[in-house]
Amino acid sequence: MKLPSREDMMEFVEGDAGLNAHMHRQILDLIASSKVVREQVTELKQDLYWVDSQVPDYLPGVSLGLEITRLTKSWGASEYKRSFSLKDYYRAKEFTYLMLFLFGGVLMLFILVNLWT
Amino acid sequence: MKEIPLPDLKEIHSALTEASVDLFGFSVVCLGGVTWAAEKEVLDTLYVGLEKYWFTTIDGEKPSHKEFREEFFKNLWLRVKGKTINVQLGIDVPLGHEAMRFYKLGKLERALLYLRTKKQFSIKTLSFIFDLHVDEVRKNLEESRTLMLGRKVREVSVIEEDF
Repeated sequence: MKLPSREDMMEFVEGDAGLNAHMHRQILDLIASSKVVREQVTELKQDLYWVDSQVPDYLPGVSLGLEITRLTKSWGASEYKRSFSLKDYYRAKEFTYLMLFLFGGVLMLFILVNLWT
Repeated sequence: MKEIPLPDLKEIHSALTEASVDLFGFSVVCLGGVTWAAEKEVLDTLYVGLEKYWFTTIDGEKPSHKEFREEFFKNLWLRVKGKTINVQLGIDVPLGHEAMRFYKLGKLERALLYLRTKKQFSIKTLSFIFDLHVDEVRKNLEESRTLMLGRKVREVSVIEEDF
């Protein structure tokens, strides 16, 4: 049996979603079966908690909320314009659909011609 | 006359607000704690997200940035990584800011540690956002934690004799 590496243990303690289920299970079994590992995991968690508590987090203020309202409105207006503007039509979603439709049509035609001949 | 569907502005506004809350802290941390500078970068990133259709609807729910969350953070990181702001104590940041050990770390280390601890990103995702190898990400995180703690983080050593 391959024992978990230091990185695996670290990822387990940090709750990394990337750790595979088999390794996760194996570490849980190790913790359940060894007092030494349990103590070490507790100490590691304490260290990580101490670091985490010193990392600040921030929430946006009212000014950003106002800017977001402005951005929403201006983007809505530009989307509306794009739907009708020939100059910007290539940027609209409808143009992508049209291109896909044309491409599909050409592909179908090509297959039909090949089947015919 | 056929009605042309337009994007629901209320839903877009809600998605933008949600994304801004998610991105704001990261932007502030990268810019050394300066909130006014962080707002501009977040807005620019949100605009890119709108232009690239990164706000998607999953299972018929409201539009959200969740599907392209990593892309948003990567875009924001590319914006802020080269920026330096001359931070003035008491004006740009509150007094006492200079005592925070976290801000003694480099920009990359701060950004990595913030995303790892506050946003719980996996090592692979961090590797994608910062365009670094996973080992480099781990090394940087370890060094940051060592600087924050003033000593190395305790290890869990699993040896067969323990069992």
